[in-house]
Amino acid sequence: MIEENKCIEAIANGSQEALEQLFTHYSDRVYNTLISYTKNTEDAEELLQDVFVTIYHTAHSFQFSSSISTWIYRIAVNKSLDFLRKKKSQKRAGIFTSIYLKNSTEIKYESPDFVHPGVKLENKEDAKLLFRAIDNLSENQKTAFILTQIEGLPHKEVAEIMDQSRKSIESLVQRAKQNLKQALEKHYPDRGIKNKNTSK
Amino acid sequence: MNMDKDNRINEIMNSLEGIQRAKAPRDGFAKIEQALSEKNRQLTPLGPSTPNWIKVAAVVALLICPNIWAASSFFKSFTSSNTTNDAYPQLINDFNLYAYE
Repeated sequence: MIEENKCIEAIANGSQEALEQLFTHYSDRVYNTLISYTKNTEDAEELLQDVFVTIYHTAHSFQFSSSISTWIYRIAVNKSLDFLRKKKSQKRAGIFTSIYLKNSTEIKYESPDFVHPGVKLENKEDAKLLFRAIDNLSENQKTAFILTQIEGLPHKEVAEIMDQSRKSIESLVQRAKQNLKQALEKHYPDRGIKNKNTSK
Repeated sequence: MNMDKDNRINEIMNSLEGIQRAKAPRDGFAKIEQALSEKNRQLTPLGPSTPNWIKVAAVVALLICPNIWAASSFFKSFTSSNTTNDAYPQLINDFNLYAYE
């Protein structure tokens, strides 16, 4: 167990050794959160770098008013949401240019079927469908769902990270689950028909 | 059929049960160190190696130089116009101008 407060103070004074200690302690948690948003290992690795570079440069302004883990998760969530917004606008621009340029190769952002590396082997196919449905959740619902269901954080910590009350996190998770079920219900008839056809 | 559908959806919803944390790449910190050193290198020219007084002196010099040049050229033109004025009385005398006034 590292002494986190001392570690942050050392990072604020420019110590890269302290940053390495913090990285060893938090990298898996941060990476797991990032990959759940980006659904792509390369992008998650790039964001992981970005998160720790930001920690290094902003450690001096950390007020110790929240826990260090909350602060780090907050940076990770913000970076992920920024990344998704940017990707969405690039995708929009790609569609727009492809209307005018027939040979444009701009549309390359179709999200492939993503399987989280930590999902059990027997659940991989189902998890693919679930992650596709998670894409369509609102930012808040997605964050609440990822942090509680994938990262396994308690509602209290998620409330601190998202700067909301515990009750509102509970209702966000509840609504996220309802929306996911609705999205999967829409998808289900296709699967049913496909299965029938293949069985004949 | 409806029961089937509900069960299937519940199965999908429960597919994250027992999920393990994804592992960060082991060489992750080396990349961060590299990114930090690159950033530091970019910041060096504007860093503390160039003292502030040099920047201030450069701005002062830039302000003063054009003023000195403007003042000196003004005084030069002023003295030359004085010498041309001195030549007029001789011309007036030579050609007897304003004699009947």
